[in-house]
Amino acid sequence: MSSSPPATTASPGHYRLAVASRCVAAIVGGYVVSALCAALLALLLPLVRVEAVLASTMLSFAIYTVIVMWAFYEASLRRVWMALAGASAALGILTYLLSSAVGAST
Amino acid sequence: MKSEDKGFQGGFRQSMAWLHTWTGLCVCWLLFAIFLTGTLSFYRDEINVWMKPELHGSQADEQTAQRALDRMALLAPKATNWSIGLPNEREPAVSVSWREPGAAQGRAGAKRAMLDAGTGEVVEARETRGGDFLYRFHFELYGFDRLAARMLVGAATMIMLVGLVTGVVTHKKIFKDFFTFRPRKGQRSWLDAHNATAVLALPFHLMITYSGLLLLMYSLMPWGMQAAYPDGRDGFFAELRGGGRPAENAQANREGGGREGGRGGRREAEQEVAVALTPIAPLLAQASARWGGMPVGNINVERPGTARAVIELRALHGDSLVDRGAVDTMKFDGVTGAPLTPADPRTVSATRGFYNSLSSLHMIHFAGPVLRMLFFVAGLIGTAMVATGAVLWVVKRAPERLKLGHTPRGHRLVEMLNVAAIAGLPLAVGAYFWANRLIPADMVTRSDWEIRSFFIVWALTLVHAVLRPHARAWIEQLLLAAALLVLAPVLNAATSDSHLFASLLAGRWSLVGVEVVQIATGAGLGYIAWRVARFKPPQKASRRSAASSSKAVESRSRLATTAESAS
Repeated sequence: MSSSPPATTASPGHYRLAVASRCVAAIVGGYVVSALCAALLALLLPLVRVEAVLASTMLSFAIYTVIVMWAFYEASLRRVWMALAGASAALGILTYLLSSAVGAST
Repeated sequence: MKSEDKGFQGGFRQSMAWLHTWTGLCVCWLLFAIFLTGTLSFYRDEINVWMKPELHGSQADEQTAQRALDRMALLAPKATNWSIGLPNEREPAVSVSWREPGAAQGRAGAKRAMLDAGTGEVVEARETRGGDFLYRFHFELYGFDRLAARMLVGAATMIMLVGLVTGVVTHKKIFKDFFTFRPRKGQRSWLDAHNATAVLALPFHLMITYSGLLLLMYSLMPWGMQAAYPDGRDGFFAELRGGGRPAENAQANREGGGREGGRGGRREAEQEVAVALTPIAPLLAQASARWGGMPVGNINVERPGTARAVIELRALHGDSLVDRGAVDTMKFDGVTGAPLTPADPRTVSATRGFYNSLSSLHMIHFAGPVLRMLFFVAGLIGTAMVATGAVLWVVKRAPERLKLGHTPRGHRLVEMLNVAAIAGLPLAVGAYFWANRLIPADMVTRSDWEIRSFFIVWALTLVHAVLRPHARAWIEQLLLAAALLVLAPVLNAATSDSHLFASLLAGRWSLVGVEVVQIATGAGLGYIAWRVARFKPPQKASRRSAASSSKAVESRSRLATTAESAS
């Protein structure tokens, strides 16, 4: 089920592919980034550990919502993918470093 | 709105409208089912009672608790534990469970029975899943792997949250729109109805959606606990449960120390001489007085019939949201009736209070009858919001169809699914109620057949929606659903000893409520069917089906109002 192709771009096939790509970016990429946010914030928030996990997990759904909305707002599909990949990498590395630091200290 | 089709090429509002339309369409049928069965779950206990007519005659009095305890001494003299759920305004009978020595841990090891509150006799109620089936269905569906189903429902809920937020930001004049209703104006009317149902209960919609996510969040988003705990989930839950209730743990330890550990103690108990329990009435009065009149909901007896029996009374519901509906409890020596040391008051942190408040709101752990009814009405409004949205999608594309001169396959698919979800599900619920009375009460696996009836009828509504012309499909299914629901109280009168007027006279409000809502809902569905049937297509035939379906949904939102005023 598709809507009529946008006036600006090329063929309907191209349009559908672009929509599919954007959906994957929003759903999968958005989930990865919000999951990493949940993980990182669980380590970072200045709360008791249980509380930090609760707070970061609850927050992650709000983050996910905003990412999905942004992914469909941003005009350039390339920028959507780049930003999500960049954010995933940065958050992933930070989480990894922090969790190994936490693991070493306990 | 042509700009919508430009998707993300347009401005912010356009791209959000696009996202709202398509996310909504993807999950609207599943969301409709979740919303409707979830709304019915607010009255899960009442539906349970309605579906067990054997319990309808149960009438509680002051002696009920004592009678139940006396009956337990006969039923389960050797049990290590009795749990007695006392009748309340929602449930007329006594539900008891107990554990025989050496029984398995958890729910599996418990034996259950229902007692008549007036006589203490065991009531052999028919085997049914009752309202519990609808409740389970609304977050675990049926017949799927439990975790997979929760993930699916969680994903739909997440999309619902996106749909709500994008729906709000799409509307510049959302509050002005709320006061706008343009009836009999085709597409405008559906848009207005969709807006009105959304805005009317927007705080409820946001709360119920977000809290629904939070209830599933340990499955959906386990990464915080995985990161913070070396042993992941297990470590997190150990700390969550342990940390929150220091007082209770300390007390458990004290008790355990006094009798050389739990397991050894139980073996010892088997050889003890039987000792009678203290009369329960004075303890109930003490507890209720201490809780400011809140009645006792549950009596728990550890090691009944022994010299070391302990009676724990639990209040009917909690008085605070932040501790997740945790209820007050009081412990007494089971033989002397002397109160034991009370647990220290619980302390709840801000984060946990936030989580607990939202999850308690979702499950209305605390609510009195008025609040419960408000939630039910808000739930119906939410259900109508999803339904109007689904039909709006079809109506909005009527001009496109007119231009094409035929109905695209995708449009027809949405039409059929709309009928089977929006008219088909109430029909299936009606059939579930009927199956409850028509399947013999003593049939083996009858509760499975009740559930099968529900799904068979629901599947048939889809077949019917495929085979019949669109407008006819709406009318026929709505009429049948209306008939099943309006006649459900008649069926009850015909197949059981109770009927609506008897329930009214005896003040059995839970039964009165269920039957009044059945009649009101049935009448509402009948009214919608009438409106669809009376509807004259304004233009060509190709427009007819879409326009009449939109009528249906306009009237559907009236259904919420009908049910509201009736209940």
